[in-house]
Amino acid sequence: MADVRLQQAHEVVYNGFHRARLAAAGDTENWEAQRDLGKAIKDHTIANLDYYLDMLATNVEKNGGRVYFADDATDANAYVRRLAQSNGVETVIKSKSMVSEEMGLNHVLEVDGVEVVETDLGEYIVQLAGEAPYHIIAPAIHKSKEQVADLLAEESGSERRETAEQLTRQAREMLREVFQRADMSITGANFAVAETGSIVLVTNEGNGRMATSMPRIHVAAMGMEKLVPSAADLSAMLRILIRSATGQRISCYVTMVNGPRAHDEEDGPEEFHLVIMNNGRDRLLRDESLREALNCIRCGACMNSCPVYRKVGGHSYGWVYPGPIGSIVSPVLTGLRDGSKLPAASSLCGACHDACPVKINIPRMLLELRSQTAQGEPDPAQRASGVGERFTWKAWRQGMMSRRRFEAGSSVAKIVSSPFNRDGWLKKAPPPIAGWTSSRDFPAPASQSFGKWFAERG
Amino acid sequence: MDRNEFISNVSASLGRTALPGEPGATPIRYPDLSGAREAAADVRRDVDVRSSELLDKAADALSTTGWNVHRAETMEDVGDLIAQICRDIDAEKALRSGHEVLDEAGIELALGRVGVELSDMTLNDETTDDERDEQRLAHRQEVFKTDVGITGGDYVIAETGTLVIHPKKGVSRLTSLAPPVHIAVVRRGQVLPSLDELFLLEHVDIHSGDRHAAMNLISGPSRTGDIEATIVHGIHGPVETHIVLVG
Repeated sequence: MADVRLQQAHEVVYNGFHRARLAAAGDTENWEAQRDLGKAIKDHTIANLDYYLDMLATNVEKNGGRVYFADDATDANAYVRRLAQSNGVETVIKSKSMVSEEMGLNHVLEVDGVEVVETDLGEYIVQLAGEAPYHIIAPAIHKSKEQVADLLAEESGSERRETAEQLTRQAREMLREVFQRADMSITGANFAVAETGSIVLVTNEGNGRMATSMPRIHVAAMGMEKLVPSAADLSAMLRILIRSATGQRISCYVTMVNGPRAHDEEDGPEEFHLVIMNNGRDRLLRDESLREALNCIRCGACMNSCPVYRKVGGHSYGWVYPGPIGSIVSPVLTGLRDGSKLPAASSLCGACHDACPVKINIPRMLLELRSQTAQGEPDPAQRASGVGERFTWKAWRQGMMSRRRFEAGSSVAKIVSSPFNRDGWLKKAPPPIAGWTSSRDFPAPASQSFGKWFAERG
Repeated sequence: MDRNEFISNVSASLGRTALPGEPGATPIRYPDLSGAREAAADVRRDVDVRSSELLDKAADALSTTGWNVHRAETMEDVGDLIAQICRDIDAEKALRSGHEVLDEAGIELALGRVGVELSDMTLNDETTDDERDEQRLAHRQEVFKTDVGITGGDYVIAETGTLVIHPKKGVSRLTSLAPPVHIAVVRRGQVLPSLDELFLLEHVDIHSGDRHAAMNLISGPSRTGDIEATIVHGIHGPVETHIVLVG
């Protein structure tokens, strides 16, 4: 956390997106009613998900597109891989798709020798650096322009540029060359509309439009929860998604795709494929206490408002979906194993619940998951927590329940941690905290408890 | 995975054994098709009655999203306005869509007068599939060398400052995307109050058999903030966008 650039980047995300969202909310008539409407639409859709998925598939096929239902990432990857192979695809352009990151699709295609190029500028930068995206709306916010200049100069083999404007122009030329030879595009879908058989892409850069204009084959990959019943619902959801993501009234481009191009059109894809993926989402659906997590429209507002996210940043969450909602979705999709620590990475302050455009009660679900994690799954092989961890959580719960035990525990923590304390942060702590401090700092115990300080301050 | 198996699993996860019948109403469901058609007719009437007020609102919102807004009293003024914009940016080559409004504005003559070469991308119908593909390839190479793309549009949205274009024969997706400058021409009477009216009209058109393969909502130039959060225009789409409001 001594990395000043990163801290500034977090401030940009916070100040920029968070304040823009608040301004947009204040500027929008009946903002609260719009949020209620968004929640009602998603609640209704998820409660009838089987019905609307069936309707969506029927209508996409009626429009001349093809639909593939994938049970998990392996299944989805195999479909796209077969499609690429049977069409002799050499170059794939991607327009920001979190689901394809969840699938690990780039790697699968690259193993086959297919060139896969990210086209969202932030994602492209991160791909050139060999890293994972940092924030869902601002993937390369942690990179300085000097670092970007090095990456672009190295990749293009041309002169090193300096300003953000010059670097953007350089990337424009580099990516245009790729657009011209790409034979397949892979996009996500911000929404699918069941009744019209459409998918919708929201971008500011226009890469979503390039992806639906240039290559011969367009593949859209979506999680099975990302649909709405009709175009009326789409209108309401677009309004709250974009305002909550960047504070804009609308993004520069919204593209509604209703299938492959017409036979007499000048451009557009000849084939349109929609991959609808489960990949563990049925676990959220089955658990009524967690089902609400499927209402998420991936705007990023919970992250921008989260005091923990703002300090530790996106990479600390370790999986595709960071921040508060990621702390719920990630452990469940990965089976409460890889992400079992995430639900604890929250202070339960409630800022995410206030920010969410569809009013998802994230703090309630984090508590639910903490309890589920500690109890583990019935199958011992699936059990999430070791004995030590279950003991720790039990001790934590005991400690939090009584003032006396809390004070006693705090004194022990202070003494044990004092050799590692640097300006109030534990930078290199021994296990069990070492896992945390390898990529972020851990707060040292306060020199006195809040209760004691409050009593003594006179 | 098999579609039925996938959907059965979703049903089972929701605690039922089969698809539900027609589920209860969504909070904002459209009326049935004849009701929706009436609602759409009401919207069109309203848009006509309020056309000057909506045009003014649109002009404000369009500037907010980064469009350079030009107002023209009559069609005769439009050609000259477009010629002037092309001169200001030192354009040599322009590409036009097949939108009729551009013919009415006489842009061919106007651009000819200032020495800008104007071409068209519309496919020739009287030919084989292979030849059409060759035309497509030639057009694609052309559009990336063009200085300015000129189009009409289907609607403008006053709420958001958005131009709406349905790609179709004669209206290439790339004309409004690939060249560094995009100029659009729309008339009074094409301005809708909000996204809600747009999607209602779209819903009615789709269910009346008038379905397009795509719909593009364009709100100003392409932008990115991905390098140190500095806003830069023109990462993939146009660097500069102009809209001429007529009437």
